[in-house]
Amino acid sequence: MALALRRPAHTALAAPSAVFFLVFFVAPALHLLLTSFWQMRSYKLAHDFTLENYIEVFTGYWDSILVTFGMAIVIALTTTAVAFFFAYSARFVVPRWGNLMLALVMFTLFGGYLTKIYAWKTILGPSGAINSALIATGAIEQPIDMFLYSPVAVVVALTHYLLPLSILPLYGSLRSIGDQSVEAACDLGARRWRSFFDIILPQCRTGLVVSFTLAFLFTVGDYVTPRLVGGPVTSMMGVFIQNQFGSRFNPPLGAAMSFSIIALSALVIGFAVLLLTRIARPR
Amino acid sequence: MTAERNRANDRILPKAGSGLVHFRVPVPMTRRSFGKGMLAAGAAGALGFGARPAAAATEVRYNGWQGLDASVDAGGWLAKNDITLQATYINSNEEIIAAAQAGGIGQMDIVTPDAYFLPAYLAGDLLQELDLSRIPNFANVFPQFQNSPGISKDGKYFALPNYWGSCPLMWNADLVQGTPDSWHDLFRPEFKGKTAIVEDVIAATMSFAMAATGRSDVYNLTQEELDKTIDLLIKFKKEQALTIAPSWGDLASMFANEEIVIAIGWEPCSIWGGADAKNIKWAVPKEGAINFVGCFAMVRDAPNVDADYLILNQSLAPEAQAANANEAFGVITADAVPLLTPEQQALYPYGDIPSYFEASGGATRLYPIESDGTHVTYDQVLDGWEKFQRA
Repeated sequence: MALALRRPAHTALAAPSAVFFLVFFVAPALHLLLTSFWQMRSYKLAHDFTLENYIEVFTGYWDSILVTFGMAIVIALTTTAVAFFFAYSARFVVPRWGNLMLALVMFTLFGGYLTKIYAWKTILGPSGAINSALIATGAIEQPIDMFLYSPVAVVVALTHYLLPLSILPLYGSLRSIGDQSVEAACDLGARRWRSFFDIILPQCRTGLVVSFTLAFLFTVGDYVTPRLVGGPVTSMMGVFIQNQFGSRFNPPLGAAMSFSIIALSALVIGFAVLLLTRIARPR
Repeated sequence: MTAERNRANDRILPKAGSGLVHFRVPVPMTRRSFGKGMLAAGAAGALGFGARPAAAATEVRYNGWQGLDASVDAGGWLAKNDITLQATYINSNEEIIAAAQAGGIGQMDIVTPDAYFLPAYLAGDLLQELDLSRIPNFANVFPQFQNSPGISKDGKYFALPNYWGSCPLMWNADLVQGTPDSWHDLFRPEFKGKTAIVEDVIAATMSFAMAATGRSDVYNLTQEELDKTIDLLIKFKKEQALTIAPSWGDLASMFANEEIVIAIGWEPCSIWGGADAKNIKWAVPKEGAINFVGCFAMVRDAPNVDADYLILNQSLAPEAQAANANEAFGVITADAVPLLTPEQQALYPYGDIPSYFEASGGATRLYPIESDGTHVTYDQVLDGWEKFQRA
């Protein structure tokens, strides 16, 4: 790619997207970063450099940061695990049906975000499918409220929503693994689990990282789902960021919150990459 | 008003705009808002919103609650008057202020502030003084609302009341024994897990402040009283509430689904359930309840003054007010009441509005924007609200 970009024609082809990226993402992000070091005084922006906003984030909102990242890690791990089993099945267990399974995954993308969240609200609610089935079978007499308005509901709803996005990169990684290497391992006497850990897992590491990252970053930034199905004790940082840019009239603090979350997310993802590199390496 | 925008969430969104009550409510979209949004989009298309205006049409910039603009256009009034609306919908009063301060003066025309929030608008010199002689329909406004606190200052009018309502105690009469008459009834053991609270700062903090202090003029709270209020809210959240509803529409759905049986309500919640609506009753508790008046106003140095006055006058026309009533808002003019259905007429006490406001503790005002040295400011209340959210 680097070599290709040295050619003027290729550089020209990349220029529009690069300019778009610089103008509409990098520049605004830099402005927001700068804003995070300013302060509001009497509802007016004071352009003096200070770290107070960042201190406020980590002293005043550490509990919500923990909730946010705890929720995001659980959901990202759950989503990646389920997505991997699905993609693995489509690629190696029933490869004949792989394309059909992938088409079904793509089909689920047609459902909008809120549509899916509200669907789960209906399913998990007191008169929803689960409670109705349990009551019909005599397993319970009264609907169980805790299916909905709980952290579990958030995990279920977001995992379901993120699954297609996580399956696609994983399936792509698994598709790139040739049958020959797996068959060669078997021919040489490797057991199934050994070829899995030594052949398949190392080669789909990138897919796992992408899958985890997508699910993690989406969840860290989400606050709508917890509001709709999470119950009274699942306030995530997105809520407070929104507050600062809205009713609190405090964009500097909101910007500091945003960049703190971005930095912490980078740390979590970096740690996940290191961990995966360690686990998924050929022995 | 948050809720307002909550409303956004709901089908309500469309007609959102409520006053205080709807302050800073986050506005995730819900199925209802989506459906209504589609309807609104279709209607907008049919009405010509977003279409290339005819050469002679006056393009008026509207920054306000979604739905109120459609009421003005009842009967195709805009097209008949060669006016097109360039609408920007809001989720909170703060958005209007921010837009006006960020270059909106001289660009924006019509806005929809809530009366209790008007002092903040006037402090920022954001609104144009109104010439009531150009708004003849103002004479039809119920006397109670012609003098709504905030709409005038030093004898000069800066806003027109457009709709009204309150946030009383609301319950499902089929499932609740007796008649609850206090905010403290929300804490009765039998309602554990059967109640909720809308994420509406003003409605929630003021209603619970009434419970914590026993008085209705809770826009003036000491720090100790605010702490008590927030503690009570946290206790409610942890011990009683099923969830925090993101919008009034969601609360209405919870009533309809019988997930909850009692809560701080808003009159329209009792009918939003449609065919699924339960036997919902409401009453102003003995401690009082917040009320609000939504307004139309003209931004200072508005570019289309003549068209703006036409719109302001039309916002008080009977057909526009009747359209508001379709969204379950309280109409503000006497001549609109005969156009309402019996159900709509029964929703609000049009026969004795003054008594209604007196029972609820008088017109609700916003917490002080600037500190007076004794009472907490609105910003301090928001600090307390975030403490509640994190708890």
